[in-house]
Amino acid sequence: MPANMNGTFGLDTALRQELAELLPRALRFARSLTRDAVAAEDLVQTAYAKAVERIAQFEKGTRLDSWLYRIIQTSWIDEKRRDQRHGNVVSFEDARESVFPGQAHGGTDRMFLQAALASLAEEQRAALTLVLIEGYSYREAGEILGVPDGTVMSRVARARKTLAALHDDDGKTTDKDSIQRGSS
Amino acid sequence: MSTKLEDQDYNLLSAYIDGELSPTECRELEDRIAKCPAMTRQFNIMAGQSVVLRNQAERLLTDRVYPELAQDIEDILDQKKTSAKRFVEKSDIDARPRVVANNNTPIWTGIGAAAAVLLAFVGGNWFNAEMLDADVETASTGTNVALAASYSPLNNPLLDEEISLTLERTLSGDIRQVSLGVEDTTSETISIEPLRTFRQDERFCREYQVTFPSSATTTNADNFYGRACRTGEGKWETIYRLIPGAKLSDAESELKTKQKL
Repeated sequence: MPANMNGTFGLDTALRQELAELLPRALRFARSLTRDAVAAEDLVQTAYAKAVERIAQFEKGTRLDSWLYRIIQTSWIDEKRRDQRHGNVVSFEDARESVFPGQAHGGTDRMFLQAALASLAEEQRAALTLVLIEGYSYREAGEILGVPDGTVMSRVARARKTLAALHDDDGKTTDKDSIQRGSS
Repeated sequence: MSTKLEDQDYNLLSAYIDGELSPTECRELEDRIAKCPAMTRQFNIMAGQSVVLRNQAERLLTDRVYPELAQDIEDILDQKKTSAKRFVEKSDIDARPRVVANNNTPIWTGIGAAAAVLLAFVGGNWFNAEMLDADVETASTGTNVALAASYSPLNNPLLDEEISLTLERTLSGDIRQVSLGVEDTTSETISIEPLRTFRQDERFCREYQVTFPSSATTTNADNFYGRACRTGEGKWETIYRLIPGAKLSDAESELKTKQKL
């Protein structure tokens, strides 16, 4: 394989730069899938290695971030399947009880929401992350996840409904008056 | 009145927050949100949580990429040999130094630390250049009154006009500082920052954040988030505003006033 002007092999300078700049976002998406910081790092490394191998398949003029996210998503599915075959399916996060930090902020407290987000079903968390955090449209998120946009819509809505229900549950045991004031 | 919401209601509210509904669907839903307390409440919760999660995620981007990983990725991109994939033990995770900057800090000064996060849906009002002339007079009856009014997120046509101008001319991420023409001895300005732009059918819509000078807001929220869609040259229609601390009565009064326009 010939070296390009950057002295590297195969990767065009602009693409290389863009991929490098996508790392924080790629890692954030991987964390939302794995719910485990270190597993997310491994997933991102696997995905980047695949991206470099398959860079010829990337169509110029399309979104590199979506393409990379799709690789992260499929790599994660592959990894889970492999783990299932080896009987290793419990992540550190899954293994422990889901405990929500006490809070009195009506379900909008940062730590509470972070824990609540982690408690969502994986497919809902992935859809919500892509749409809410990454700003993809339902159609784009559907392409990354390999599902129709209507499925993305219902997954995102179910995720929000769950988070809102946690807000309500929390409100019953905390500062109920302050939460409901102005919205009842 | 309290009505149990159906799954379809959640779908609509969620799609509305994500800018995925058509203008007609938006209008129908806004009408329902304004009239149905259960819908209003659910919208406030869902939109408020969305704002917090989005802000939290923005900060996580810069906090948590470790140099070792960044170097590994650089090596992968340069197709150099990287260290073998790690098989991580729980003890490794516990022992690993983590630099998490935001562990105990509020993620968003406008909402994070305040216990009572009350977000008000203010839908259906229009602001444009024509509104300006009619309302300037009201705002200039006295400096103090005008100053207080200039920092109000509601019933504030001067602010509406500045938001409109900002959405028309300012790129996302750039902050426009505006003075509302009041004799303010502190010379402090209001910041208006378009956050993101998206297309909703035929219209461009934008979300934005408005921050008031902290010293000037003893009773009002010091910032709020909003969404508006472009309806014509220089004209932006407010879809909603999320105002910490606002009461629904404010929102309802705003709705009644502005719907006449």
